[in-house]
Amino acid sequence: MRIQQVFRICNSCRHILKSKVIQPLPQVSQALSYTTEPTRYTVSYEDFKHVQDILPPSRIPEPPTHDSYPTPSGWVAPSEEAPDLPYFISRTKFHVLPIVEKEKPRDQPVTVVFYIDGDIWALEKELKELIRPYVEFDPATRVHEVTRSIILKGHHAQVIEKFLYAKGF
Amino acid sequence: MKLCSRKFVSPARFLLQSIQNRNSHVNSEDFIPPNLVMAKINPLLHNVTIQEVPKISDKILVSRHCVEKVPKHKNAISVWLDNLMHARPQYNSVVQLHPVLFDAHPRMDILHSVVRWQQEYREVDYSWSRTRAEIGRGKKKPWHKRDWKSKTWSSNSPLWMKGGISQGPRGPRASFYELNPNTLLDGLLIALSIKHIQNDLIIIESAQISQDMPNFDEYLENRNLSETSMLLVHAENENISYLEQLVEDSKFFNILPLYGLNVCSILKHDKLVLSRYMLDELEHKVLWHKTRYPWLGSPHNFYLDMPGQDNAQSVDTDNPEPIGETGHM
Repeated sequence: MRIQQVFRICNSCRHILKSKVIQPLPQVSQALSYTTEPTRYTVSYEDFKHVQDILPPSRIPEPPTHDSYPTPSGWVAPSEEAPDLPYFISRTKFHVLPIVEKEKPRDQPVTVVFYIDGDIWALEKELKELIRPYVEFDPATRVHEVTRSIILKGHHAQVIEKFLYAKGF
Repeated sequence: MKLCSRKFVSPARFLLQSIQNRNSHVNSEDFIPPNLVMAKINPLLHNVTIQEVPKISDKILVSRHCVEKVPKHKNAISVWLDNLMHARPQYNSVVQLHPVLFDAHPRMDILHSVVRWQQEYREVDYSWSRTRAEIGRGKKKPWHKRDWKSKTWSSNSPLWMKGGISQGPRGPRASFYELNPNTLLDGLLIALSIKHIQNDLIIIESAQISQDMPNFDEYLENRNLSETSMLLVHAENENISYLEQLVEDSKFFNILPLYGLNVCSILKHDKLVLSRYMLDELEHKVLWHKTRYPWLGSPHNFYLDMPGQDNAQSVDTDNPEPIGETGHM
């Protein structure tokens, strides 16, 4: 009995649905329909000029010329011409003297002066005499010709810096 | 009549005398050892007249000056400018080279590490040996406990013949590693400096040659370069099509663009031929690397003045056209 009722309802529904024609929905947005023309867009780089003003330079600039040296931080500009000495010490790319204080293992404070061209041994002689008053025993130095550097025992960066600034390096 | 008229000489003294007599010609001034090789030409064997290259004086025209600032204590290096079109070298003009590139301190250890890296970083060792589990003969016990025979549990044991190898190579093993970029750059500069110091550097006006070029064999013969291997490095905007045709079948001449310049190629060839147009770009790039700020994170190009990049775009306010891309969605 129930099954017959269900079949009767289904049939009547089917008749109802067949007679009506489903109207197409009105076009709500263009993106949902694929029959109209696709949208156009442009990407504008007009605002890039505001970014350009802030872009940083990639190369390290030359330091500005100051009225007097040393500057408040203690920095001294190198002399414009190479000094008339048998050796030459070029500055690092940050315009700073190439002196580094290191702590080698097992309590060995060490100062390294690098970027030396010319007669290294002449410079080593001068540095040895420069360090003598600050050192308890004979000043220990080592010339490393392959890496163009002099290694001194102990921390003597400030003394060497003063000496090299005076020479004009 | 004496049977033996020779004076008695001890064996040691005889040996010393014979050595001295054999090598007495070494001390003379004109002595050239027969195994001397000068750029693949032995003057004793090949009968070649060595032409003298004139010295560079101050009055000669300098056709190319250094682009970047030269360090205070060094001078720009002057080298004769050659031309592929001229059959004989005409010593007319001179080119100036930057000392940071061609007068670098010759660190052999850096050069060696760069050459080793270039050869090793792309090597993959495909050797693979089977372990006792991979032999494929199964787990059968060869023989059970018996008198007068050693204990065994498997015939694949590394102790056995045709057994597995216990600590052997295991599969593809790459020997890739990265060197410090500063080391790589220094290696390149050292290679260039070595070529300059050993007179193996030839600077050419341009690699772009026209159809009416004189005989190339004549060109090489006049400069004693008939059997020397040469590497020509040119800039990207040069048209090398005719040169490529000329040199296609030659075993001794190789052409390379600037971005392919590497230490192994420089050292492998006898002579290095550089085109004048690529010197500016090379100098600019090398000195940019030497004087740039270190990367804060990873390398990027969001800077004002990268070498070979033009971030400075000009904005045209008169034309109302929109700048940028147009497209369809």
